[in-house]
Amino acid sequence: MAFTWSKTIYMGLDPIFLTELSISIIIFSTIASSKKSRVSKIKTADNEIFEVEEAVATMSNTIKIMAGDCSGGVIPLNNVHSTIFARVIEWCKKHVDDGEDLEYYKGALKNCDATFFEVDQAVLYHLLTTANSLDIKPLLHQGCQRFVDMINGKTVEEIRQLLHIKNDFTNEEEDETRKKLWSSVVGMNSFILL
Amino acid sequence: MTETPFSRLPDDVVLNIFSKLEDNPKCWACLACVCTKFSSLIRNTCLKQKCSKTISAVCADLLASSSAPPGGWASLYKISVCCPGLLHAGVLLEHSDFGLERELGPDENYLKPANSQASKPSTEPCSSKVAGNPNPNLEVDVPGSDCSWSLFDDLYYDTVYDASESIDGYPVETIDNGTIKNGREFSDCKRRKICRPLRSHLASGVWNLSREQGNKLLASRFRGDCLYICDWPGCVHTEEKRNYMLFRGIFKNFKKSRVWRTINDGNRRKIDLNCAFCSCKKTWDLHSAFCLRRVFGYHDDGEPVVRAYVCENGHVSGAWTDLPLYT
Repeated sequence: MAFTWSKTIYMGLDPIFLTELSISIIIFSTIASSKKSRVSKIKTADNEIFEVEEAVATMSNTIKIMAGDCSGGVIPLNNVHSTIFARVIEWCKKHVDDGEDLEYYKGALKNCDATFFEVDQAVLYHLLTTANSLDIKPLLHQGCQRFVDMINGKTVEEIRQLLHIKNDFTNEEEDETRKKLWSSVVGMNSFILL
Repeated sequence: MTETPFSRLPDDVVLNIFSKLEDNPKCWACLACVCTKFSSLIRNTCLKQKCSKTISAVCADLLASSSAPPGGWASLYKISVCCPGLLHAGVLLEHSDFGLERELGPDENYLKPANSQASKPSTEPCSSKVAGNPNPNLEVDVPGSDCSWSLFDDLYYDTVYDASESIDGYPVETIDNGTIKNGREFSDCKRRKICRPLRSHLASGVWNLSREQGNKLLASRFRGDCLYICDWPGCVHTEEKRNYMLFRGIFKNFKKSRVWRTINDGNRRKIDLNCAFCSCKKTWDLHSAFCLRRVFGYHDDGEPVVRAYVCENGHVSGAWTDLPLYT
């Protein structure tokens, strides 16, 4: 030991500093490698397996809970198809560090996420139901807001045509009464197209 | 039309979407007419939550005695946000008689054939028959008129609920002078456009209901009754003669109230003025039933300073006017 110390002093390097430095390097590399190893394995309904960083995957509260139950194994998502899951994960990767403030996400819908939601209705429907079942609140918030922007300001018939929803009021008179009850809120003209 | 997945969205997702529109009554009203599922969600959940948030004291009070307010959550919501309009507040009914016509019954002369009415002074126009005559005869209602349709008929039919008349067939139009015969005291209404302010519409002013306002309206012996009215001045309508401050409200437990006992026991006549907030086709005049504070009195032209009408569900529509400066 004395020999070693004398060698380092001879080389001009403070031996205590070198020891501390090497210990620090060992500690940091341990932490770094342990972070990299946390990957969640998720299997979608069509048997495709996704390897997703844990921080990204646990944006979904559902996956977070299931990960606790599976303890390192593959998490099965029986109701989610791989194409939709891929989109959801893409969104999660973008927002992993953005926190929980829903107002921020509402603003983001107009900016960085605008193109993400420019999809056809079938995809929007699947995004909504997936965000709901995976319990990703900010994504659900944005999806619902997108839906709101689609239907806001439209008349009854326009909403029906947009969403391809059938008028299933069976009793015509009942329908009229509803219109009478609501027409004062909406204003006359909105019902003219019916 | 083929059904798409949207009609199969889980209810909590649909409610999430609807809740983002809670400050947009027009959109909710449209959605409630799209399909039965949306209608049910809006009426039973969205409106209930919204009312519980905005008029929480009223809701708590009304729910103390039943699981839902009379007429449903839609009626309560509409009372909180909608003005009844001049029509349902009874402003269009002829009131220039200091309340006598309504009390004493219709003038017998009006029941005679039309050609004998030309000599009668037209100080009491036909609309008073809306209030007084339970079985009006149209041919007689239009004195000396040869035309088949007139402004009076239009307004009369508006006060009588007509399910066959679709709501969108009520366009904005101006009634030509040519359709109204001379000598009728409807000159103020002749040139008026039939448009939204006559019917129920979204109210101006704060959307709130308070018991204090209700107390100020009722005569002192009815102070035990709980009546919620919107805040003063309600929805202000500027008309030729004067301004009308239209209000709306709801009784708590109307059938157990003293007002109801007074109306019922007194066997008061209902008038053909349908409620703006529910499907009741007839209402009672609270002013002529002496339920309102007597101090309000009348204007020089016979119009009451305050009028109010109540339906069987306890929904109230009415109008304040400015107190006359000199009495």
